[in-house]
Amino acid sequence: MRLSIRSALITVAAVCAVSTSAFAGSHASCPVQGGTLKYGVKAEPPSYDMHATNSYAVMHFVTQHYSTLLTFDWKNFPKLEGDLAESWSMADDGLSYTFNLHKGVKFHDGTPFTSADVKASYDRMRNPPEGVTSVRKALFASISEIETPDDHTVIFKLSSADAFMMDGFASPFNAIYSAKDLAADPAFPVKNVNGTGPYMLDEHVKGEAYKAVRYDDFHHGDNCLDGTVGYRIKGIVEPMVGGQIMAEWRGVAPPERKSLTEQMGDDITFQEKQLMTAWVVSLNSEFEAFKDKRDRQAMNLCIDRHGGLPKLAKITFVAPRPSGFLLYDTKFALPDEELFDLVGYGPDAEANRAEGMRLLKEAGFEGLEFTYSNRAVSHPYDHIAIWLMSEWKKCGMNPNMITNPTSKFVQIRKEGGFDATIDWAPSFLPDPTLMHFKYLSDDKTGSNYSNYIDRELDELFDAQKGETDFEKRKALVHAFEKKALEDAYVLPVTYTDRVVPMHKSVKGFTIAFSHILNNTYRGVYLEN
Amino acid sequence: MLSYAIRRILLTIPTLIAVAVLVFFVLRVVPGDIVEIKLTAEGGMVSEEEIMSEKERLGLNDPIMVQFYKYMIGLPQGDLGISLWTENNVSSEIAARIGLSFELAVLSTVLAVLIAFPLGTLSALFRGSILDYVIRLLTIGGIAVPSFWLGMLIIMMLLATVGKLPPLGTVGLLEDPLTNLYQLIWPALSVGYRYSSVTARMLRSSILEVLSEDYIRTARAKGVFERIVIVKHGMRNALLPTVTVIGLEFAFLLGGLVVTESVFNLNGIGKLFVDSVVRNDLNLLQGLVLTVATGFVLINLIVDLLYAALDPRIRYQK
Amino acid sequence: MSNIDDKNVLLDVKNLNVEFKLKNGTVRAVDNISFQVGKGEFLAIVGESGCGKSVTALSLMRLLPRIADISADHIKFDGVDISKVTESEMRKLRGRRISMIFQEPMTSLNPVLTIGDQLTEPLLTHLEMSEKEANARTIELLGMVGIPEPEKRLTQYPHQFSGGMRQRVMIAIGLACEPDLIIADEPTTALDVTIQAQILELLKDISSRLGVAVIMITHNLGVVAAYADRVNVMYAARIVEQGDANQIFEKPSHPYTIGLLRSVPRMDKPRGGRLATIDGLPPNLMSPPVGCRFKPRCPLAGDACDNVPVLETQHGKEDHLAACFFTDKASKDGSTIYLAETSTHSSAEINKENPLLVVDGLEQYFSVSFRSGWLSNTSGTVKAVDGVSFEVYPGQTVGLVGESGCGKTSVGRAILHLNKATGGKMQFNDVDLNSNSVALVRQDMQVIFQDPFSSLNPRMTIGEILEEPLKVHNIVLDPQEREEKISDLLLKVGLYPYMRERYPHELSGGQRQRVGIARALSMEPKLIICDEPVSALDVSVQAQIINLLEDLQRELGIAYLFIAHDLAVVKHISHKVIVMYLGKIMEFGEGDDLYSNPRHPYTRALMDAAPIPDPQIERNRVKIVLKGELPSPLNPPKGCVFSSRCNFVTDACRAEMPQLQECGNEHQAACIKLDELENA
Repeated sequence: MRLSIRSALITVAAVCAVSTSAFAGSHASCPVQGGTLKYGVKAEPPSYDMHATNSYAVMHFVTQHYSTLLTFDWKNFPKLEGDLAESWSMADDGLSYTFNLHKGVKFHDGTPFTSADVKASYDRMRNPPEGVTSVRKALFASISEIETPDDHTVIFKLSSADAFMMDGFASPFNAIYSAKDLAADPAFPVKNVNGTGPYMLDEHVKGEAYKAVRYDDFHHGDNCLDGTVGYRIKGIVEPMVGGQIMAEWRGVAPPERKSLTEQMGDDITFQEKQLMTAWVVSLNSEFEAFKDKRDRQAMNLCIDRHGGLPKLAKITFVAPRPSGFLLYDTKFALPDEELFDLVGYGPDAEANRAEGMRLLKEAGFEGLEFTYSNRAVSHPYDHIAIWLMSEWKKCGMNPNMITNPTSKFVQIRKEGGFDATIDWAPSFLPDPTLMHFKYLSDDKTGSNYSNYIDRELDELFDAQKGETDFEKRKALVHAFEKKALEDAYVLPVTYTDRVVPMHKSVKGFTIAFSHILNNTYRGVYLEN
Repeated sequence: MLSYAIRRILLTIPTLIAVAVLVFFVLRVVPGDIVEIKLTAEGGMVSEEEIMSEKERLGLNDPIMVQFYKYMIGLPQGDLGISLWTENNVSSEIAARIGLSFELAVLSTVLAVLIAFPLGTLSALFRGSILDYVIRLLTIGGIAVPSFWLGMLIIMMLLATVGKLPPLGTVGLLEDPLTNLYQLIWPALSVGYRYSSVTARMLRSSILEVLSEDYIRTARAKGVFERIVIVKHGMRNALLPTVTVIGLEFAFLLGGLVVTESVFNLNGIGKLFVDSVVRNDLNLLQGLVLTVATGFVLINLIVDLLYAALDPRIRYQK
Repeated sequence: MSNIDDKNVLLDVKNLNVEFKLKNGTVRAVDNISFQVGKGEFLAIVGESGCGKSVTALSLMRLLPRIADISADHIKFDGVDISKVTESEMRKLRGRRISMIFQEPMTSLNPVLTIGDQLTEPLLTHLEMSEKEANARTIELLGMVGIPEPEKRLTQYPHQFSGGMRQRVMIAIGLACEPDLIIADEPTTALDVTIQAQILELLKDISSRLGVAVIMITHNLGVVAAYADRVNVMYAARIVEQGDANQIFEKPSHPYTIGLLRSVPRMDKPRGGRLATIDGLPPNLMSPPVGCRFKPRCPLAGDACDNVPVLETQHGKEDHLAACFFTDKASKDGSTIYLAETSTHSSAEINKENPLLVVDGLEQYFSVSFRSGWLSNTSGTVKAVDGVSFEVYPGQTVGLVGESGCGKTSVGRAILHLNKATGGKMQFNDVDLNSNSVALVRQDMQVIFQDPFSSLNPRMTIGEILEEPLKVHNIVLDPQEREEKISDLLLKVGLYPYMRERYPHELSGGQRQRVGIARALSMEPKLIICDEPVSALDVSVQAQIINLLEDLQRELGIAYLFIAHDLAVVKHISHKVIVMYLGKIMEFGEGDDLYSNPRHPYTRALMDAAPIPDPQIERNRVKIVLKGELPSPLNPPKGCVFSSRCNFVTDACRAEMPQLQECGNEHQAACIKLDELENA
């Protein structure tokens, strides 16, 4: 254990050294300075408070106003980089993190930034005062104390080692608010903006436009635009073609991409990457048939992932290949040969199907009838649903699909009014703590809609969470992954493909694994 | 006339109270939960406890009668509560958008009237001619074609010809009238086509009906010029049913811009309606339904008063 | 062809044709007619509905719809052939030199323009008066047509005027530019008889004072007799007889004219004979009969009638033309060509021991409330029927007559329990009539309505309509017998059994009314309440129905309560007549007695107002013309309800409503001055 922590520390220190040098260098330069970036967002932010949200609507609009302690080097993701922190280190035992903060940083209102602001912000997240919503309480539950020995040093003390913590400091949600503002009103950031980020809020016309202007004193200096305007949009294609917007960050589906290419030709560019949202099917553990593991595995076996996903990816934004719960090709994910060896993930569709039908027969549920709850949104829900229906029918099952608008769908999912439901697991970091959280026992997580209890999974999760040694942690994560996949309460469909459309004049943007990441518009510039 | 108007306005109060009560309880039957949507629709690590405390904070855990009491107490003071999504006042959320919808509705009405009056009149006067058939074909098209589809056609047409769409983000009418008009004329057209079709058809049939009335024959027998027969004797009578149609359509517009506003990305109450339904923002929905209902009632009132101005039989009714 | 001095000819129409091109054929609505109107002359065009008289008038004014095709050798108006002038020339003539008054005063004025506005319009258009001059002239005109307080009335709207007042306004509009010719198209048909008399007197008076010629289109022969100098009788788009009014009434030469004159019941003749009836119906103008169009209905028709008769001079008088091959025989035999009239009948004996229906002190009050201001409501009581008592004996016809709004229909409805009476007692066949017992006697008490079309289900065949009551009331159980019964009924009312397959819209108005009667008869009733059963029908058809009702009464001993506004019809058919005014009985007596010796001033006025179709009698009688209009039933005059319009009113009349008092043989009248008037 001790050894592993030390090696981790070395890694962190190395990263630190690289990033510090990087800070002074390349980022600060802007090939072109000026112009206003017009982008579209399909949703409206409920508030400006980043601590209280998981919504991309908030992130696309509000992230540009704030800084976090750490951030990522987007070109070498998930390599860490300093933002407000100049350098940082982790104690040998993994129970203490020390950050040396940038000097001379000021909030948009002119207040100097100090360690007190970091403490106040993190306290607000892990222990929100009355009337303040934080959805990061669980994430930062292991922080026991935050110390500020001087204005530019912050020390986080942990009650137990947490392998996720380092990435957590770079989470884009963890905006640093001004301690002065929070002292006056803990709910200040809900309806007001005062950060240290690259752009300042100018005007928000509700439901319509969100205008920001360049913050001249931004400490990285790589805010290349005069300002940004985010518009509330409904569709992407017409506003892009009609020159109303230059980019949309959440991504387009394949048909939209085709349409944009056809209509805009060379004027449009795309960046493409997997998105850390997994599409899964949650099976209701209280449904008689799904109490039997054989039936659940049969459900899994009957989905021909290898044959179907490449085709599905052509019509909607799913990845063209199978995946486990962790995003494929990332450092903790099961290697393909191990994944494809699991029940239901092999490439031989015919054999899988035969096996599935055999299991059903054996369990006495031949021609299984069940309801599948679908969300009334075409991409990717309807497309996935149609595909899954036909796959299950090939095994002689009789699925009955119910489609509902979001609010009703969410209620059915919550109240268990389904036998199987489409479900999704979004993450913003490829970290097992985030990605496996959903699959814990019902009483450990708010998002286990299968309602099963599995203490073995809970234990594996807790163990990996406290394991800072990479290899050991990876072994624990693989064990979790295999157990959960073979138990088949939740059937992963696959991950998402994200295609960001941009007008050719938009440069300097690097797509990340999530539409929640890299929304500060740092380094983004407009070429004439 | 004034006291009549006042009495009519007072009479709308019980109507609106009934609407308010109905809306409150009907909406509570709607499934869904805004906190779930707000916190988990996008995923993330959210615990059950966090969801419960958020509900508590928004007052959603109060017994329904307590919520009802708070709602009804607030109403007379113009307090429609807060939007559960943005936590701003419902009234301010609506106020920020209603102007645009209203302007769009008025512009559509103006367009509709400008189109409908010549078309309806020509169609009636040249009944049975090619012109009449063409106009009737056009107007039946207006009724048959959904406005959002026409809106999409207009957008495609703009993209194909100008290659650009009007800029997003509403520009105030007083600020830059030309841009404002350029932004709103297209959605107004897409709504106004149907509107003008309905009006033109109504006008046509009421002119035809009026022109066969005995008093038109009387006017002709007096040797009055034909255009005076039509304009003075015919149109004013034909206007009566047409005004009703215009008023009703206008009232429908306020609630009916939902799709058009979405198609054209306009930030009016139609779009807010869609948003609040999607988010299950019951307070905002309540406020919107009440606002639209009030609009309906007011427009009915205006139509009635206009009617009285146009028709002496109503004005002098004993 | 005429004795009008060429210099005096105002309008000369030569061979006028009007055709309507419809989808399913061409209708020649006016077929080759010629006539003249002298300056200041009063010409009447008479005929039944659909004979082309209105189309003739409208074609002169060129006010027909576009589908009408008008042609004529010439239409000379004051020497100018107006059939050749342009539309704009024609417009200058309309309202300026020729004006027109229409039938429906209620709809002929524009509801959204003030009376003043509508009156000044021709003045401003034609005479180019200034607004001020026009207003002054308008006030003068309104005064001339007898509208009180004309200055105040200028800014009012048509709905604030009564029907009679509106017709006065129409006349004022017609007179505005002092035209040479006024065409009046049934100007009084929609009005009550007392108002009709006022309007016609006014028209006549003004035309003779100002020397305006009048073309009056009417179906009412009494009106013709009273006012016309010359007459055109039209039948099926053609003029069949033409000439001096006196001459035509004295020596009608065309069988149609004779039939028309004889089919109208006469007030001045004692009750007795059947009415002459012209069998059948006027022809469909889409495919008229070849030759003489009257041939199918003419009692004199012979082979010659296959040719078209032309108008020829009659009796050596240049001013009397008729188009018939048998005019000599027709004028010689007169009405006897219609055999029916010869068959007089004696009044059936009426058993006066047990009354069939006893109505005692019937009251029918309606409480009405209406908005009197923007915020207040006023409520009041309309005494539609107030203390009406009478008896109907088996086999007797009791006539109920009065102007609209007098409560006669309410009496019928109260007896039928269609409205619940608010007071009084009724007995039928010794059974107290109330809402419980009315169902028991329903079968014995049937009703015939004015509008036969709306009272027959349009989706049922005649057979089904007649079968239904037989089935529902279990009168005839066996379907075969029912068939026979229906055939019997149809034959009895003068229809044919094959008509049971027809639908109501396939029948004419008279035939539909016959079906209505057959339906009532099917229940074998003791009493039929007839609510204006003939007022919607043309005179020749009206006579057929009246004869039918009388025949049925004689044959089956049915009693009738006959409600009508036409005094002559009521007189003809009724044994006893009740005259009502504002819900009260004014006079009550045996028909002949009451008509020959009316005691109540209202009855007298009513009879004076109804013109008799004989110029000799009509023009020589002294008339009481009633002033004013029916008062509002919400606010009836104090004392005698008739006091506000009575010519003999004194303060005593306004004190109390007089009771009915005996004044001879079962003759009662409610007037305190009976003796005085008797001697006057």
